[in-house]
Amino acid sequence: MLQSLPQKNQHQLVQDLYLDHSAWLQQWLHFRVSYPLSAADIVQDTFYKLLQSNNVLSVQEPRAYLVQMAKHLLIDQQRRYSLEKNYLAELALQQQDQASLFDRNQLDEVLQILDFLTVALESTHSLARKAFLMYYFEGYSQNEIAQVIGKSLRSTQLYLAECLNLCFAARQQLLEHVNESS
Amino acid sequence: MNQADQFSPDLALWIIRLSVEDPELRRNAQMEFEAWKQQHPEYQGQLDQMLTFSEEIQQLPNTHRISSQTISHSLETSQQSRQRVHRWFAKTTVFCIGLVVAGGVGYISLEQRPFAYYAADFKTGTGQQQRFILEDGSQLILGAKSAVNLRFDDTVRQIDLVQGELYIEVAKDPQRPLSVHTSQADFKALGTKFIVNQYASMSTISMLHSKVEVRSRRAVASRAIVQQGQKITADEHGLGTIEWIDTASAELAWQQHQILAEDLPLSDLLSRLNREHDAMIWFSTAELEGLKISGVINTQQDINQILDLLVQQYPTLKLRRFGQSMVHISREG
Repeated sequence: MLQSLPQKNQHQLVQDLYLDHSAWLQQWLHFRVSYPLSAADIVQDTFYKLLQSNNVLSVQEPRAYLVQMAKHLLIDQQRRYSLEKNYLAELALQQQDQASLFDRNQLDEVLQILDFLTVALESTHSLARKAFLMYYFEGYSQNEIAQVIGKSLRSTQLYLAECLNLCFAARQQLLEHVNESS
Repeated sequence: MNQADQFSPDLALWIIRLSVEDPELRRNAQMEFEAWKQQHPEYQGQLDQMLTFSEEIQQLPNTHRISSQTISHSLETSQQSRQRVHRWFAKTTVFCIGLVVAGGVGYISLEQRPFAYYAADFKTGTGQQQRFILEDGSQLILGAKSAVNLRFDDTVRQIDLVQGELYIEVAKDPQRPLSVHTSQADFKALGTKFIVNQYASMSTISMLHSKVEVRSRRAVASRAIVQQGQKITADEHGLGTIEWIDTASAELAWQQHQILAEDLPLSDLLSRLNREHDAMIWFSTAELEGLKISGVINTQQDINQILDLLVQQYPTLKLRRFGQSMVHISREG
């Protein structure tokens, strides 16, 4: 259906997809996704993302594609939601009063940082992760880390560099994403 | 990816090496770096960016109250939240059964879990067979209308067979055993080659090389080791007895879309045929219970010829054809 209409523009195609499948997708999500995300919001976000992507023409199984897209969106949303919950809970444990003094902008910034750090560190293995945390967040020297993780200094440096690079790339990607959506 | 990005792993390593605590090592790094910089003057800007970034990260505990613990917890929660989403998207069987019961519909079609199929990581269409190379180098081939979800991490390589058949040549990785999950059983391997068929009522594994450990998901204590040239069936009651197969013909049958049936329930055979053909075969699993098929079935043959052969074997079966592509199978008497 989609390939036979190349002269139509992207927005028209997305609109067609929306008319044909949005109700179905919402129903589909409604059965599985629980609070706090509403199925309707995810459907809107999915189609919004579809509008931004340039390969709508190549969609052959629209429903499978939409579900896959909603799944990725949900994974991102759920991660951010649970990062926030986790961070606020930790703040509350540390200093009950000051948690409320934290303003929203500052919180958003922290969450963005946690977001790209998590995404980056998830894609590497546990030893590299451990080395990275010890170096950047616990103040250990490169030599000390090498001893703790039982690797040579050279390997430890490679681990640290890998993580640094992953984090850098993940932040770039997040910034591009934020710019796109705003 | 632009050219600058390709250099960023090098830049990151320079930043780490230049900040090593040992003064002598740092001097060495400094000298090597000067030489590198002369060859690649164009990366100065990116290097500065990354250096600033590295310093910012180091300051995060002070500037943003982000501790090592915060990050460890974040990683845990993030993983849990992803698993939750995967569970949501796998939550389909219950829903489908609910529909069937609510509607009072006695007949099932071929796709028992259409939603799980649509949402799966890898899948094939009707009559298709497709090869995938997985991230660990394992080679996976999916049979017709088959689907899998993958969960690979540091400790496990897990393949959920949502529906259909798979053939896999597992890349060796003693640190991360690979397991295939079906509704009826888990198959755990270290490095090997095998075929898994999943049907509504049972799944089978045919070992072409090496061995796997099979655990029933229905009977807790039911476990077996299946060796090269052996085959085992798992159903709702547990594991069956181990049978011997000819690995060469099993592999050939897979390549040629043949079914080597030995007491295969008729309903499972029809499900498989539905995956291979665009025709829609309707039947009631309960009504066909007890009917078993043995023999080599070439699924590429004309579907009507296959069905006629089935009727010859079981004369009580009755076929009713609707139009070109719909067939209803029932049992008389």
